[in-house]
Amino acid sequence: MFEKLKKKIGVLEHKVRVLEEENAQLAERAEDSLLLGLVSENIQNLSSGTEIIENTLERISILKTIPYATCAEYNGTTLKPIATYAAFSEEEHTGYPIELTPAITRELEYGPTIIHPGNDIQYRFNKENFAPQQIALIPFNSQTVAHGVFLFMDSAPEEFRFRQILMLLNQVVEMAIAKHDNLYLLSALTRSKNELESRVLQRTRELARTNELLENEIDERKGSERVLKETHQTFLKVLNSIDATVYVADMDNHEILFMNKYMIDRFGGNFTGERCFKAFRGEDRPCGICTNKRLLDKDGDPGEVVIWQGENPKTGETYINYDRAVKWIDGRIVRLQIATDITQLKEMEQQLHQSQKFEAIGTLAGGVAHDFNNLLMGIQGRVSLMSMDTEQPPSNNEHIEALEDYVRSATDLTRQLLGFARGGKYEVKPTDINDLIRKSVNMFGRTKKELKIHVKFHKPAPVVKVDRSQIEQVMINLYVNAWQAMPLGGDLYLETRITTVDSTQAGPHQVNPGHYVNIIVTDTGTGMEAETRQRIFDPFFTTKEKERGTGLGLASTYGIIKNHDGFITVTSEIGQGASFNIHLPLSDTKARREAQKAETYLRGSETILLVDDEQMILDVGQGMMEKLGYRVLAAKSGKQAVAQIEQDGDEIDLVILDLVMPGMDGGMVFSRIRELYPQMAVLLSSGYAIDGQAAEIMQSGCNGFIQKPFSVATLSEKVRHILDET
Amino acid sequence: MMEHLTTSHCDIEGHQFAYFVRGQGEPLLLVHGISTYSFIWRKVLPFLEDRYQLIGVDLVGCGLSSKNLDQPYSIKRHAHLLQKFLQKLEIGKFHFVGHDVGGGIGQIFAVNYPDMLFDLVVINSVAYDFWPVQPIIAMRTPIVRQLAMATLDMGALRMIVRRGLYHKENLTPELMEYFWAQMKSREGRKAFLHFAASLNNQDLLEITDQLHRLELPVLIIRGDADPYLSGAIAGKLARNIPNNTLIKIPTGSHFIQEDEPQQIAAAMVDFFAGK
Repeated sequence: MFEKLKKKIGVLEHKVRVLEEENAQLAERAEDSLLLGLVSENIQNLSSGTEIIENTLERISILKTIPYATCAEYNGTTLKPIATYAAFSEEEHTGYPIELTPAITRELEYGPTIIHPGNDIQYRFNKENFAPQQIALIPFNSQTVAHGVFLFMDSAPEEFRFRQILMLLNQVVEMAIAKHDNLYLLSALTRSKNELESRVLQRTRELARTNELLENEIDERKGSERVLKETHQTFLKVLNSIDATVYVADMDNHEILFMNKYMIDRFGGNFTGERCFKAFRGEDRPCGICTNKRLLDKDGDPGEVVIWQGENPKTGETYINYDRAVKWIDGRIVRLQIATDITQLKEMEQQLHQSQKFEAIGTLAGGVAHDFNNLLMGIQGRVSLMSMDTEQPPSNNEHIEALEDYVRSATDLTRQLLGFARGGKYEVKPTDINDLIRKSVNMFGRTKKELKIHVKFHKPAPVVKVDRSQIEQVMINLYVNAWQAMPLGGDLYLETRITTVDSTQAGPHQVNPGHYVNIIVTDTGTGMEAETRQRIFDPFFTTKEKERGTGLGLASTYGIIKNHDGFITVTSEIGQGASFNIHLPLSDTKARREAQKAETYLRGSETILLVDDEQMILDVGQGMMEKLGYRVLAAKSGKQAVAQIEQDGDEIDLVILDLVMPGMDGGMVFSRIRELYPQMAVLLSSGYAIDGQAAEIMQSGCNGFIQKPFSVATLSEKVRHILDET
Repeated sequence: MMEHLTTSHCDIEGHQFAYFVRGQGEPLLLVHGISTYSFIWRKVLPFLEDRYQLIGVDLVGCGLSSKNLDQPYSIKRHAHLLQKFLQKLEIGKFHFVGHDVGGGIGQIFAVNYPDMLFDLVVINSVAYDFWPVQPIIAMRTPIVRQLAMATLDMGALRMIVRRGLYHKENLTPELMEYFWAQMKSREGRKAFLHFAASLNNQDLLEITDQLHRLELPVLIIRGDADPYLSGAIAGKLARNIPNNTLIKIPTGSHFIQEDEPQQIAAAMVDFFAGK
């Protein structure tokens, strides 16, 4: 019984042992699965390839009780560690350097292997800590490792252990490496995705930026368009406001593309679309004067502005034109012309030219007149002496009278010439112009019954500071001119007004702006055509036959008025009569009455020094004065005169002193006389009218002035007057 | 909220010892076992600190103490290091309280340094040959493999802890956080496994005779629901240690400090008072 029991116990014990072993194996299998599960679960959550390897090594080491595990890359025989786990050490990559033999590395090409410590492998461990007894090598390759190996080292001698778990280890390694590669690929994919996303984002941003810019540009353009429209309207407004013609035409076909309002008004219509040569100049083909060719440079681009002036055949006005080539709104090059009407300006220019012409001629005429006056003086003197000679035959009287008439005429002529030459005002006094005109026209009209004279005077009577005789001469000239224009009689209108001349009107006539007396002389005669009108004041210009005039009348009138700081203009048309318009500066002084003089010979016995560089004048003058009873000393030059005065000054009562002499002139002599004899009487004589130097000498205390040629009566009167006063 | 008790440190033979000292009275050393550290005493402290100066340690390789792997974590070495530690703290005599492997350390301490102890308290302690002899084999024993797995898997650890509790409701997330703390790092895991691999029941077997001649009073507390350590250990200790008291607490499991902290504290207080 006991034996049976013992046997049964033995059997049971055996079965228990078997069961325990099976249980252990099952537990081991369960643990294998658990290991795989744990590794898989762990590495799922890892994002680092190295961490995956490290964690796998740890799990294998702990769960399979393998003290040392490492993962390395090999190139040749030397292992480069990737991750290491040693249960017995915290040292990083403990056991390295690890070297394999070429034979082992060749074997790894075929799969996992188990080796023992020896020549096949070299490593470095502290033997007290760890002494491997068997080593399992599991090769792998991955996305980042071409030749890799996992090494598992155990200090237990039982080889079967590694053999039993080699497949498991291989599975775990594969799982870990697969995850590692997945991670790598995922990382690469993520990088690519990120890069792509970044590029897309960047592109999107760029696109958004471009869109924004585009929108801004559109807004800007819209704004610009609005501004452009406003600018265009403003521009049109400006163009249509200026008093200049502006037009644009195609340079090839001459089509008018634009006309401003001023041009439309002046040319009587908007000719946009028509040919410019036809619309503006009435031509059938491009004008000969067309500047188109000159508006482009050698490259065919807009060049310089071409300025030219000319009369427009359609409007008759003179324009100054500024032509230039510009780019039109549609890109083609067109002609742009801006033109200003200078018709009035031209007329003013002509007037200015005329003034300047007259001045030039005047200077010439003045010189001639002076010399002529001296000659006349000589003639007049002799004639006067002759007429004073009671012993001459009576039949000479007629000749003498005729001579005197001729001399008078010649004197008139020189006076006219001097007037034209603007030889100066003789005696300026405030004069009632109405009175002057009334008297002069009455005198004139007495002999011209066929004229109907109409007067219209400004009240109160305007006063002008003039040389009465010169203005009378002017009026006479105008009356004569009007009378000559109305051979069958007609109407003569005379009017005086007070006007204001502004700077625009004053400028061309070279007068000062201010208040003026406007004298208007109008006739209903034949009138003048434009050419005549333009030359009417030219000296020696006449439309009359020779005997009817010298052509100096209106020239003299012009000169006298200019000399009085006024100006004269004429308006006339053929068949429409003529109107002469005189402007003289208005004076605020009261007019002085004109005293009448009678012509008499006044005698005396004083001593007179006669000074003149002309021997003829000396002879005549001396003759005249001696005839009048005076004792006459003569000096032919200023120097002689001074010498005479120095010598005989006490005896001399009066000096008749010629102004213009070579060397020491009248002025210098007068100064010397005043030094020597401050109270000596001096009568200044000259062929020129009193002006400039003569006026200065007069102001310095000269006692009188006599203009040559002078008559005996005039001379005697002047001499007597001065001698009586001093 | 998890709070580390061992806020003090000192160097003992190249190891950093983490410890705490609190309370007033006779010194009382609290030593934990494998898979735990000083936290295991937290619920017991309030019942003792009014009467005793409590000294709690994290054994080398555990808790906040250093985890050098160049030396073994054998029970004999722990006892040696503890002796040095207490000398450094200038603790003369004290009460030694050890749990699990800590109880084993206490047995070696009591045998080697009896003059340093008032008495010895072993709670659900290892003793004799109830641990594999060779580390390699030990690592392959089911319990150790479970522990190894527990280092890697919170679920496995939770299972171990749950089985070690009588009052399952004490298995709180806070408690798991304490247990898992030293498994979080590779260093912690390596140290724990090094501790497990260093255990050698030879260290306890060779002191059997000295233990059975111990004159020190010994209190043996057993949470009777402990699935990991057999009641036979406590029974054998109670039969052989001359001056001992055995208290069985049916409502306590392996981690009885979590199950019945007041009871074990009360038992200790009575024991220390000589009752």
